[in-house]
Amino acid sequence: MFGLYRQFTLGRYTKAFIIKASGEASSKNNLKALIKEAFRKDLIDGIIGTSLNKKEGFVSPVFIKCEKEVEKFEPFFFIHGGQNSLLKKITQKYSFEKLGVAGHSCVLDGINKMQYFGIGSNFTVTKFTLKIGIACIGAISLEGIKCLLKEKKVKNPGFNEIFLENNKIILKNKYEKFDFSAKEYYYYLNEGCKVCMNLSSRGSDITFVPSLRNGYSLVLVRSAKALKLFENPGFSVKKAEKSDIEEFESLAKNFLKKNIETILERAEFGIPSNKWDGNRFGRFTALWNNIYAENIEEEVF
Amino acid sequence: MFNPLKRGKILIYSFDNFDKEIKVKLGFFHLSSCSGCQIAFLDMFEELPDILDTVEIAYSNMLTNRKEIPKLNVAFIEGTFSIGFKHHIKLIKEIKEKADIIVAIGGCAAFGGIRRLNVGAQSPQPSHQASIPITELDYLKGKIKYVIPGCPPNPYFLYKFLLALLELNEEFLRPFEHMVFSTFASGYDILMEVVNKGLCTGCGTCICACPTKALEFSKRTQRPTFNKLLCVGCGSCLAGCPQSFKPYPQPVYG
Amino acid sequence: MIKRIEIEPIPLTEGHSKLILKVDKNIIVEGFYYALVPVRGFGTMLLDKEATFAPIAASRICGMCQAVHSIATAKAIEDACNIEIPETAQKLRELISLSVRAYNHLLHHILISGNMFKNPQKRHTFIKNVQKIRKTVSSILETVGGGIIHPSNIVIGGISSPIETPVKERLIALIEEAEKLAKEEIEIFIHHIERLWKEQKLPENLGEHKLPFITSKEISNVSIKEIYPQEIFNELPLKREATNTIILINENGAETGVRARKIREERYKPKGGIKELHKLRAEEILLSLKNIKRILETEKLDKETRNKQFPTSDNEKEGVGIVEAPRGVNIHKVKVDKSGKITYYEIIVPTALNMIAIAESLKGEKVEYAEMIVRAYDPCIACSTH
Repeated sequence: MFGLYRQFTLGRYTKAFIIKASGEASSKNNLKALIKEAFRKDLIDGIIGTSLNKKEGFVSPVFIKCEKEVEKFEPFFFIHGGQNSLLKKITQKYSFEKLGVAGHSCVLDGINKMQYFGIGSNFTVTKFTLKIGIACIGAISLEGIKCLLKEKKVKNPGFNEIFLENNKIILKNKYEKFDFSAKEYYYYLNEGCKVCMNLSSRGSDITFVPSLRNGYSLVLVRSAKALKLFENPGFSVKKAEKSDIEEFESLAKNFLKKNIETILERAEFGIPSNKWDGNRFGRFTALWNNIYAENIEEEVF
Repeated sequence: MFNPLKRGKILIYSFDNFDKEIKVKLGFFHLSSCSGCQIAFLDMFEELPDILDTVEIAYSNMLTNRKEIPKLNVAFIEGTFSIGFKHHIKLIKEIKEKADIIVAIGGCAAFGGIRRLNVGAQSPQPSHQASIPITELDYLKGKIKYVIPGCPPNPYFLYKFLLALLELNEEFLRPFEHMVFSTFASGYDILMEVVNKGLCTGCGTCICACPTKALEFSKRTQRPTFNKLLCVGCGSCLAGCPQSFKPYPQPVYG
Repeated sequence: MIKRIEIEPIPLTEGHSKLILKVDKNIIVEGFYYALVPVRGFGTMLLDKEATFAPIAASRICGMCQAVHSIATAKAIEDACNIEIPETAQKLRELISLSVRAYNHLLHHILISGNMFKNPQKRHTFIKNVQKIRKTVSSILETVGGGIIHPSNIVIGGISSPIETPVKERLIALIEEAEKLAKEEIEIFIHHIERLWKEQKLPENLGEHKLPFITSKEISNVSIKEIYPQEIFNELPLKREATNTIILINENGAETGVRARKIREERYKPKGGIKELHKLRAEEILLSLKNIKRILETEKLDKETRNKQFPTSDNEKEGVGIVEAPRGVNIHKVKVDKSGKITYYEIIVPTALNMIAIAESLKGEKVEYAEMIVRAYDPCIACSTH
C-alpha cells in the first residue's frame, strides 16, 4: 500500500547539513548566509527571492544583483509573492549569465516547467544555475497570519519572521514569539497548497528547510554543484543528525497526510487537483498504488 | 544527432515516400496571419543549423524556392482559416493530402488568437470577415496532431518542440496533443482553471508567459489580475502555469 | 500577340501573392503584383475598442515589422489625445525602429539567399552567418522592446520600462559586436549579388522605373489617395481576388523605402534598378547599427519613459502617426472619443505604396526576371492586407 517514505516526503538527496550563520540566530539569516556564499563562490550573479516589505505590509518578489544587496533582503517563507513574474524582465533585460532562485516548490515548478517546455520565456531561461528550494508546508496569506495571531488574542498582530521549530510553526516579532501547531496552521492554508505533494522542493539543487534548532537550519543537498557551497563556507556547518531530518520529516508527513485527504475529498466531488494532467485522478491512483515502485528522483535542469 | 527512427516507438510520420533520405520534411504554411510564427522559427539563431541536420525545410514560401508543395512529414500551419476564401480551401485540401501530420503553430491557428476579433467590412474585400482556427475544422480532425500555443511561440519553445517531435518524446508532446481539442483560449483560463479552482499558489509564472501584459501580479492579493482588454487569446498563460499540466520529469506523479 | 501569364505563389517572399503579366514576345508590357492573403481587418477590428489595446493589436499586423506598427499607432493616439511623451521614450522608440530595420533587412537577406545560391550547403553557410548578427540585433529588440516578434513594451504615452546604465553598457558591447559581424556580412552579400548579376548576365539597370521617391519627411505635404483593386481591374476574378489597396501619392506612384531614405538623407543620386536596391539595403544595416550605437552612447535612457495620461480626445482631431518602417512610410490615423474609444482607424503601409513601383519596374523586362524584381522590393504581404 501507500507509504510516505522518506524518498517521497523529502526527495532524493545526497547529503544533509545543518547550517548556522554568524550573528543573530534566525532561519532567514541562515538562508542569507547561504545566498552570500553562492555569490562569493561565483555560483550565481543574481538571485530572485521573496522579501517582506514591512512598510507597505506585503510580500513582494525581489531581484538581488550582488552580494551587497543580500543585506537588505528580508526573506519571508511560505508566501511566494509572484517571484516568477519578474523572470521575463530579468531574463530579457538584464541577461544574467548565472541566475539563482530561492523559492518554494511551486516557484521552482514554474521555472522547471519553463525550462522543460520553454513556454513564455526565451533561451535566457536556460541561464539558471542554482536553484535553492525552500521547504514549504504551504502558503498562507498575510491576512491568514493576522487571523492566527488574533486567535492567540494578540492585540497588535505584527511579525517579521516565520519559521519552523519543534514541529511547530513560529511567528515572531521583535519582542514576542508565538507558536502554532500544524493543525492550527493548516486551516488558514492557501487552497492550492492543500493539494501539494512536493513540500520539500524536490526539483532543486539544494533544499533549505526554514527550521531552527539551536540556531541551526537543515539543508538537503541534491546536486554536486550545490555541494560546493559547503567547502570552507562563511557559516558554521555540521553534518545533520538523524533527529534533525526526522523532525522535518514528521512535520512534512503530517501535512502530506492532510493534503492527501483534501485531494481525495476533491476527487469525490470531481474537483480537479493540481499536478496531474489529462487523466488526473487516474494518475493519482497510479501514485497511490505504485509509489514504492517508482524512482522518485526529480530531474534538475 | 537525433534518430527519428527511434526503436520501439510508433512513428507518427511515415517514411515510405522517401528513398534513402531520412530527413524529416517540414513544411510551413500560413493562412490569415502575420508570419510571426515562421519568423520565430528563424529566431532559433544558433540552434537552427543543428536542427537542419535532421530536418529539411521542404516547403515554405519564405525560405524555399518552390511553387509546388511536396510530400511532407510535418506541416506547420500558422494563422486562421478564412471562411469562404478559395485559396485557403485549396491550400488546406492540398496540405491534408500531402502532409502526414499537421501542427497548428501559434495562438491564431490553435485558438483563434487575435483573429477572433476580426469583423471584416474592411477595404478592399469586406467579405473577408470570418476567421476561425484550424483546430475548429472538422475536415482536419485527426490530421492536426499538435497545437503550439503562444503569440508568438517563443523560439526556445519551438526548438524544444522540434526536438521532442524528432525524438518522439511523448511525455513532452502529450499536453500539446490534448490542446487540439480546446479551440479557444484566453486569460480567463487561468482564472477559471487555476485561481477559481483554488489551485493558484501565487508563483507568477503566467505573468511571465503573457506576451501582452494582460496578466499582472497583484501584490496585495498574491494572485494574477487579468485585463481582458489586452488579451489576444494565445493560450500561453494556462500552458505556462505549473498547476495546469506537469509531465516534465517528475515520475512521482505517474 | 499579347499573352497573359500568371505566377502564383511567389516563393522567397513573405505571404501569399500573385503576379499577372501581359507579355509580348517574352517582354512584360504590363504587370500587376498583388496580395492573396485574406484582408485581416485590423482597421475595423480596432473600431469602438479602447485605445490602450491598439498598440498590442497593431503589433500583430505583421510579424516582421511588428514594432513600427505599434509605434505608429501609439504616436497616432498620442497625437489625437494630445499626450506628450518623455524625450527618453522617443529615443527608445527610435532605437526600436532602427533595430527593427536592421532585423528586417537581415531577414530579407535570408529570403533572397534562396535566389543567390544553387548549392543548398553554401546557402546554409550564408544563413548561419546572417543568423549571428540577427541574434545580437534581436537581443537589443528584446531588451528595449520586451520581445522580438511582438514587443510589449510599446505603450501609449511612451515605453513601459527605461534602460538603466549597466543595461545600456551591455547593449553597446552587443552593438559593437554586431557592427563587426555586419561589416563582413554586407561584404559577402554584395559580393554574391555582383556574382549573381555576372553569372546570369543580368542587365545592370534591371527593374528601372521613373517614379518619384517619398519618405516619411515629405509625406505630410503630398496628397494621398487610396485606390481599390476594383477601380484598376475590369476582369473577374482579379478585382475580387486582390486583397490589398494601392496608395497613390500626388495621383502618381512613388517608391518608398531604403532608396528613398538614402536620397532624402544623403542627397544620393539613384542609378535605378533593383541591384542598387539590394546594395543600399545591405549598406543600411550598418548605418542603422551605427545610429543605434549613437543613441546608446549619447543619450540618457534611464529617466522617466512613460506618461500615464489616459488617452481621450474629442472625436474630432485626427491623430496621425508616421514612422519610417524598414520598407518605407508607415502611417496610422486615428480618432478617439471622450471615453477613450477608437472611432476611426486607417492604416497605410509601405508595401501598398510600393505596389505601383513594383508594377513600373516590371515593365519592359523579361518574364523570367519578374519574380526577382518583386523580391527586391521585399514586399510584406501581411502588412498590405492589414
